[in-house]
Amino acid sequence: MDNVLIAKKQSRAHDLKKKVGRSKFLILLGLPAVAFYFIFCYIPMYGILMAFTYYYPKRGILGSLFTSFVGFKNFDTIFKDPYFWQVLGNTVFIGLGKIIISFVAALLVALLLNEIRMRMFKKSVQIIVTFPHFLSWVVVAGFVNLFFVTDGAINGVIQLFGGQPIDFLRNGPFFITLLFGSDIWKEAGWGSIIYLATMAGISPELYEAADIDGATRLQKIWHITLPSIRPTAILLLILSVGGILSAGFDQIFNLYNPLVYNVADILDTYIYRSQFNDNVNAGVTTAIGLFKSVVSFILVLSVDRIAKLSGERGII
Amino acid sequence: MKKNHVSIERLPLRPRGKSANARFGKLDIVLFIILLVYAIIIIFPFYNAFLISVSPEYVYNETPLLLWPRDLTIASYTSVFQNENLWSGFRITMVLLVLGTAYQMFFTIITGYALSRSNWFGKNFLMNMILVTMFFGGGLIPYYYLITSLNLHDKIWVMIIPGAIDTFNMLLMRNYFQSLPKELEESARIDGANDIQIFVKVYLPLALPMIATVGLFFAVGNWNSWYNAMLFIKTPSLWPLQFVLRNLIITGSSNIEGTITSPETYSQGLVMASIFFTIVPMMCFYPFLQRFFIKGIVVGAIKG
Amino acid sequence: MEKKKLLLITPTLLALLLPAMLLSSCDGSAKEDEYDGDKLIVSLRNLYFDAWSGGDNYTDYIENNFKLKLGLSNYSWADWTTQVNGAINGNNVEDVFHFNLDSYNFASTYEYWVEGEIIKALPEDMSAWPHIQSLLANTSNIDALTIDGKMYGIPIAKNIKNPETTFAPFTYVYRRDWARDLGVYQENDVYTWEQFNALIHAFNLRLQNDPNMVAAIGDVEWGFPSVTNFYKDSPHCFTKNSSDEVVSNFHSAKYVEGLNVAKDMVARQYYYQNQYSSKDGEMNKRYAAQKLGILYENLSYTNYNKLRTDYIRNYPAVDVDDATAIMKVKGPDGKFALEGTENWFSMTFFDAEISDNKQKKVLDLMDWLLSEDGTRFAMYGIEGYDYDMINNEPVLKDVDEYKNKTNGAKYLRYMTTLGYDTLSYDPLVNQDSLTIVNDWTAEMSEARENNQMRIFEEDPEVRWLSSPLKNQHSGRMLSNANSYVTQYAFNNLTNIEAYYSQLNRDPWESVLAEINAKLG
Repeated sequence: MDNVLIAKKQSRAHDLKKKVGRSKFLILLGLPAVAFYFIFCYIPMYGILMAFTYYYPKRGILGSLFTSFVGFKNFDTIFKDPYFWQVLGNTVFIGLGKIIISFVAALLVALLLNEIRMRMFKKSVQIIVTFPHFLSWVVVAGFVNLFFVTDGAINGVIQLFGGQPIDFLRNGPFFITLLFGSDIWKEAGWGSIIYLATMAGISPELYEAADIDGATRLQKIWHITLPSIRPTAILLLILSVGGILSAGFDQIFNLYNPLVYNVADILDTYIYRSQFNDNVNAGVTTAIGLFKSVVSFILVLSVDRIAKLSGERGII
Repeated sequence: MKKNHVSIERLPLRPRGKSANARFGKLDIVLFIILLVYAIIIIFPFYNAFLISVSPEYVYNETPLLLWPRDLTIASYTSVFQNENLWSGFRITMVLLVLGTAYQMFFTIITGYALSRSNWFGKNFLMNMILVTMFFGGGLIPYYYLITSLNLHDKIWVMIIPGAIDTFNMLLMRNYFQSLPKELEESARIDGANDIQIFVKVYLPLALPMIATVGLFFAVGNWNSWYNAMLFIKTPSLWPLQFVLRNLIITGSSNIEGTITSPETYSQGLVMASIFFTIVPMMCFYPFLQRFFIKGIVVGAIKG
Repeated sequence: MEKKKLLLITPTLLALLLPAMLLSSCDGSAKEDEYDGDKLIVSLRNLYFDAWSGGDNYTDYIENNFKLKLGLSNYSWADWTTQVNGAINGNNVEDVFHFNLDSYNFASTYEYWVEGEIIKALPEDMSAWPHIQSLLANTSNIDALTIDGKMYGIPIAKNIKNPETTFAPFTYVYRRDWARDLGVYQENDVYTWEQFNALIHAFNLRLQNDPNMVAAIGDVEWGFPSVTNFYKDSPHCFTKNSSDEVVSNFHSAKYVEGLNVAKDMVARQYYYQNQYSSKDGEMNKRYAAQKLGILYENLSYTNYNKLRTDYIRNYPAVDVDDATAIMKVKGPDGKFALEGTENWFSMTFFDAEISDNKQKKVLDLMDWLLSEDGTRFAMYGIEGYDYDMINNEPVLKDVDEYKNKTNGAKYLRYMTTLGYDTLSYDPLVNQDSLTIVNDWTAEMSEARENNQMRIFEEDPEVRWLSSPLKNQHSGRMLSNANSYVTQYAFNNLTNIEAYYSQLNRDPWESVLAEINAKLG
């Protein structure tokens, strides 16, 4: 019996050696990645421990860990602060809203472009509407400010029609509208690419069959076009759910101002401001970040599990 | 994978004149108008911003909604072209663009390729390693320490080196490589090719669309980057373009108490001119590159 | 599944342990003095250094005389706080750095930095640096900045020659020419409360005849509503009632009275309707475009000069003195009202890790720059080369050439003073604007001495108090309160009860209770 076990072990070791030999080139290719992720992601990762300390810069992270360890007190402080829950609510609202709205917008644009039959026009429009994706939010925020400022273009038009100027940038609900609106302006064209390509890949026989059955254009869209994008949409959904709690730091950071903090603050901007402007202790801000990471991770796992259960392919 | 997916090379067009109505119906006109309005909404801010950049200050102050040019002036642009910071920002960003993109593409592509091959020693280890980093990070402060101990402060390399691999782009490459048929590898091996040759001669050329796409993503990312500069770069001559622009936009409209040597209060004209200074290069290249990345991202995502 | 988990956890754990040990060597050890030849290397960073980075003749002169090698950098305007805090948290500060310390961030920065041994205390005995010593002696509320009898930084004096000017130039500039035309002009630009209201009313009527004009009066965005200045006791969150108890300023009867006046003015459309939502700098631009009759603004020399320059450039037909006259308004109590401030702005700090020797040498340089010789050097340059002494007054040899040269000493001087004292003989300064601003300051100081002036400010005792709830909440409370004030004035909140209920969403009671308990 022992001989069999030994033989098995030996052959397994032998197989392993062979495997390593075969993979030499790929291991070589993979080494830079290992080094890179180790240096730039794993080495800083021990900073998570800061969440359990009251941080003193001069003592460093380990130093603070040993001299001012506070356990879960930072989390306690966070959860007791009502503003944190508001920020969390904003983040979920904005994050979820963006996912839904940008999905709908991208889909609509894709449908519109798919249905239009003038090829030159379609191509030009596509080029135009995908361009804003490549601008930085610094520039787009500059445009938004330009237009929606009190005596800017939009208010000029409103006043032309006899209305009262609206305070877009500093009035909560309007600011949120601006957030979603500018996100659509920037990203809808880009987001439509995938859906458009999927739609273009639908076999024309399906449409012909529908014509024979006498379907209207809308019915064709509903029964053929839309179902074809379902797997893609679900995949993208799973990918984006993990990012709900991120909700777009760049955009909000460049657009917001103190008057709309209470509705526009998301976790990332809150962390940023607490850390750099309000000078909240780094231990606390790290705790918020850790909370965010853990919840995002759980979210992605859950959504992936749900997707797998309903028959689609997951990503993990 | 849907069983009846059509290869992307043959994008089928709606059959003309057959079953679909050859003449343009009401719906087409409606679609046309909607899309036209949409396109105008996209273009209009650029147009308006451009007008402001060529108008004198009092014109801007007096007319909220500039629709046509009035009293054109190139004063803003003259000022912009004389702004040394913008030019040095441009130079720096060009360096980042060329060096950074090449550097990032190299590492991202080889990693994507490696992870696309199955069953080699350490593959799962690496994959899991990367997976964890997608969710957990130490935050800014340990990263700051890291940069300090690597002695990268206030050097141009701090904007290049930490960006070696972008996980999302790497996954795109991986998916693309995976989508290429395995038979290619097998037949190449039969022909006696070694690993290096398979990679370089067989797979790389086939992956060109995706490589172009990923390259474009990196290029745009480098063009727009400013965050690392804000944290780690003190020397103004090393500031990248977007960072200089951001400062211009913010200081153009702030009113800090107690300032003595405050920078010139830039009018909106200068801000808009600066914005165009940073956009125009992109606007020139964009229509040509658009073909590539549409193909690339489609395949990368669908076949993933 | 288990194997997979193991493969997941092991690298993570390993990765966590190893580098933690590697980087633990990164502790706060003292910085050794390093020399370039015989010059001590010092790194200095200050917001006002702008893009200057040394290399000019005057910096060289200083480096040679003081045996220092200066490594210079500045902050970007928009990210000053971020960059300082980033450097502090990353343990990477310059030897001498600069930060916008104020009462609202006092606890989380200054106190925290002292406790964390991040900044170095000034030497106990400052007699070797008499100018700095005198600067410190004249610093308002310096007790607030003294911890255990030590000072941990140098507050940068606004006007070192006139330290008693502890009010801010937040006041009105107006169209004297329009006032004259409408017959509501008052001698010497001094208006009683009734006359002020009559002026606004007249300007409001003028709207009908001037298509370009948008409103009688506008306030700079952060200063709305300016009329509350004539009623309130404090510019920020807290004030004291008659029993010397700390209460909320925004709830107080006096403030609400002023607020109602503002609401009334808005209702009569005296205020520009877009005042509500103006972004930074917009109201200023409107005044510069002749759209407003009166502007409430921070009339520092820089801002005032810019207004005048704008008028001269864009509307040469208009008399600039009349277009940018500074108005002096008396409130219902018959007195002028100005906001009180500290006579300093921001502070220069020393990294705790530098040697005593290095700190001493930098202090030597700073002190010399404040001395008469040093100041003249920073302003004019080298005697015999840049200027000559004629009748005991320095006269520049070539003004144009001087304007195009960089004088590093001038920038270095900003580490201790904002330089208002030297404006009067700075060749680059517009003397007309400066004279007007100085005359106004002198007039207001005199009014103060004659009890014609009411300075409203937050009691320093309260202002500089550091207590947990106040530190955590007062910043947000202030910005929230300001937005409710604006909403009430512009009728988004229609009645005063709505205003109060909005205010009460913030923890005023608990914060005030804590403050009062601490003050005893």
